[in-house]
Amino acid sequence: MSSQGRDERVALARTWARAIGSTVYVPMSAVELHEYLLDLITTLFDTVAAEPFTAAPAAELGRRLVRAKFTGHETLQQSIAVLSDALLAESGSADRVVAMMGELAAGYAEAIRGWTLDQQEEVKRALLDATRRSEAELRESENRFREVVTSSALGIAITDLEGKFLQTNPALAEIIGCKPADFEQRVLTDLFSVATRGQVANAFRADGPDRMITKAELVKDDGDEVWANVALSLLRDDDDAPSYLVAMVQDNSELELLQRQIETLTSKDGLTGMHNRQFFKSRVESVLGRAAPGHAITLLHIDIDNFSVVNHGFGYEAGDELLVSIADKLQRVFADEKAEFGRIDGDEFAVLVENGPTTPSTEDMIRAVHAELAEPVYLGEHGIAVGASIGAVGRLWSTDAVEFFGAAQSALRKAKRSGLRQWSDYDKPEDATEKADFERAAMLAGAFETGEVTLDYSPVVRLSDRKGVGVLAGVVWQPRDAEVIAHDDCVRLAELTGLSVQVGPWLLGEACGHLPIWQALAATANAKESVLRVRLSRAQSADGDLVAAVNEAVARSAVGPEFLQIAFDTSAVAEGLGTAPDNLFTVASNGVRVALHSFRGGPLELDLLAGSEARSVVLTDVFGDVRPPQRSADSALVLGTVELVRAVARIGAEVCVDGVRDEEEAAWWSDHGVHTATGLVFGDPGDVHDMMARFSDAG
Amino acid sequence: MTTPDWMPPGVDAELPSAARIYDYLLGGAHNFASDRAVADRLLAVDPGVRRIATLNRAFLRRAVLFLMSQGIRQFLDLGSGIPTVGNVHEIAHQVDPSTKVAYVDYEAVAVAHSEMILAGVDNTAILMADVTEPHLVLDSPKIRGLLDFDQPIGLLALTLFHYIPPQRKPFQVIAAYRDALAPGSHLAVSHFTDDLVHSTGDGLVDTMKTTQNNVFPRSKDEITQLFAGFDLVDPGLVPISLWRPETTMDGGDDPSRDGQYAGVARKK
Repeated sequence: MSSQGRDERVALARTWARAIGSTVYVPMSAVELHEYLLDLITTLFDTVAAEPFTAAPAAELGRRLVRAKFTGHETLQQSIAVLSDALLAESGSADRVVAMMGELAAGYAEAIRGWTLDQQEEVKRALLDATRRSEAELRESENRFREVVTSSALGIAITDLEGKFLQTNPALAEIIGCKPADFEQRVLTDLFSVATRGQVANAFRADGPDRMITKAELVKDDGDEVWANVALSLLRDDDDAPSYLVAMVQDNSELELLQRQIETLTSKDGLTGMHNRQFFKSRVESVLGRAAPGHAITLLHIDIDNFSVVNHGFGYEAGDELLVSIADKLQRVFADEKAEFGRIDGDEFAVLVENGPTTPSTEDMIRAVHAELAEPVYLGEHGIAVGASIGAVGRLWSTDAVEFFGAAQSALRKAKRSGLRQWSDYDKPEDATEKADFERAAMLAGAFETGEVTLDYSPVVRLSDRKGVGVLAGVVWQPRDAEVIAHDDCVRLAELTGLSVQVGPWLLGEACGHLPIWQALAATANAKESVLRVRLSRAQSADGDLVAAVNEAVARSAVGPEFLQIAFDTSAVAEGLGTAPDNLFTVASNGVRVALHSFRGGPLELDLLAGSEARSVVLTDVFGDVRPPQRSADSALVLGTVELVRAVARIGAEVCVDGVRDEEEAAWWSDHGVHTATGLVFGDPGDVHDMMARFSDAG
Repeated sequence: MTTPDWMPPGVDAELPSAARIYDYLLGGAHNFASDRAVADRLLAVDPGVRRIATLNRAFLRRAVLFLMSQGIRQFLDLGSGIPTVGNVHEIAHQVDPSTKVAYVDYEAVAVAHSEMILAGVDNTAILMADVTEPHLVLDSPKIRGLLDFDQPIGLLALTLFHYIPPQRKPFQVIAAYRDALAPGSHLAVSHFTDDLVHSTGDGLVDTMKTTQNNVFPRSKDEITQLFAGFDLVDPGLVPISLWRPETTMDGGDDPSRDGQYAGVARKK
């Protein structure tokens, strides 16, 4: 090959490369392409010059063009144009060139047909694979969708544009309360109330939003109408035209019910339905914050006395029942007031009153609470009444609820310290006797209601002539199924529950009803002593309402107050328990004769006597089981007693002795200057008729 | 159109795809009648589109070889399309068969086809995902299993971003990929522009509207923003035929008809 021939071929390769490059992307570098084409050109030139000539090798060249991916639109055309000119110039034989180009075109055509079919096969397989995969994914996604729809707690419906149901899920049927088949006869808007139907219908509008979430009123098959959250989505087809509507319905009724229950649980006391402590405090806060300055607000903190007595005696269920009744009572007392109620601890209640023009004074409110609580509640056949300590506080200068609440609690503590209607030092009852006591104590109130408790009189005798000069009034309880319980035990039980402050006024009221009788009898005995004597327990002596009760009883008797003698508990007066000293002074000022019972002597008690209006002392069970006549006259016991009687006499007071058993004892007391006495030696206790008989015998 | 998210993308051979049109313009036969019909309409509007396609494929080859020369041995090819002639792994493996190449496309047929091509080819992977959801790509076990993001990666985004509409936030998309790349990584971009077509660009754009892929041509300034956080290497963002041409033939006849800008940049 001449060097000139070589240059021609290189130039031809460059021309050919440019021609091909303009028709197809060639994934080769320029050098690679050049070398590749130069190789083809060499073969072509060899072929056209070969003797004998055969055009056949040109076919392979056509195939090689395809294999090299020179498969562009005009690649063959451009190649033939470039090559045929060059080959004609090289060989000068048009026949040979035409034959070779024919072979080349045939080889190219054959190869490109196979190549195209292969590629088409390949891309169709790819399409098939992709389609299969897509269908599998679609099936899977449909399964997922179906599972979601079926198991969803949301009611789901797919409808056409008329609202006709195409698909519904079980939850929707459950929410509406119908059978799945029932949807066939309906359209979507049928599920909603007339008032909210239009809203739902809006979702079908092609020009509206594709998705809306709204509240609409569902009409259930039982006629109930409930508000539900409804999400409505308009699905569009490929041309953006609306095709389906998807509705999801969330029935809120159960949720709302639950929410209310939770609210109730967190704000209400489960037993009584009153506010619980936390919520009551928040109510106090909001009332304080809301009320105009200067507007009176009263907070009562009520602690039920010895509630554990009921729990121990009757069991916790009975205790709960009693608490419910206490709650009812409190609400009854304040029925006419703008009031809020809280149970703020096991046996502690609180009442918040926003005072109005007709709201009674705090004292009257407390009295009303006491009176209502004193009404016994029947648990089975047992009537139970309770006492309570109450702390009351008016609105403070501050609007701080915590301070306000604290002030009421502090008032309550003060009330408890005073011992008012409050029994203290209570420990868990350890033995059966104690337990029985608590049980009886709790039943005592009911016993008053049923008449099992009655007045019990004992004669009071003047020792100088052993004449009956009056009666000592007490109570006796004859339970239906147990032994008689005498006055002292009744009082002890009543003191356990705080009931005794109710017993005092009752006793006074009942006994004063008989006062005219005792006055008449006393006249026959020419007695200047008071004819009706009542002894008050510690709690009764200290009761703030005592004076009112005494006044009322005396007024009802229509007899002068001087015929009545009330004996206060000496220690209660000496300690200043409650209003005991004031009570004594006021009762005496009103003309009632007062005495001190359970008097033990000693400088302090004598001093108390000297400084008080009491002109009588009662020595109660002075010697225990020992009797004065059994001791020698110079024994300390006897000497001390004699001195005591003398000391009382020097102050100008009389002495009465309680519990005299026999004649010898009566004589001894009489010898030592004791004025009057009570005791079994003077006859058994009895009712008013027994006493009348006794006095007429004696008279 | 309200298409629930849980619906997988369907396969519709009747709907022309840019990937298959591109294949046809490059002289391939991995296409359907509907693709060829659109390609023929494009050619009628502007006979230069075949050249545009060819130029892009040539740029791909030059860009990959340039990145290989910079030491890059990992490629992430976003919107890889039909594995037509001169794929990235074919170019790269000629230089170094250990080079890792990951392809990403969301067109089901292209992906299925790629899987067939790549079956048995080591160091390659194809992920079916929407490249505009970068986390789906970057967090994919397939991608993470092949590429080491602590080493430089060649990120290829050729003829891709002009298919991403403004509302898909193309600049945020590229930023997410950029942030995942190690320093020394490279980004190669080619992007359709109205600046470099003589027919009205609208003609091409309108024609492409009948396909799965609308076209959003962008200006040189806008395309430059795709390289935020990268330094463009010479010669910068230029008409595609002028990017480091190997021969005058690569330069073509008239760069003002190139149709696309192209550039390669290095991550700081």
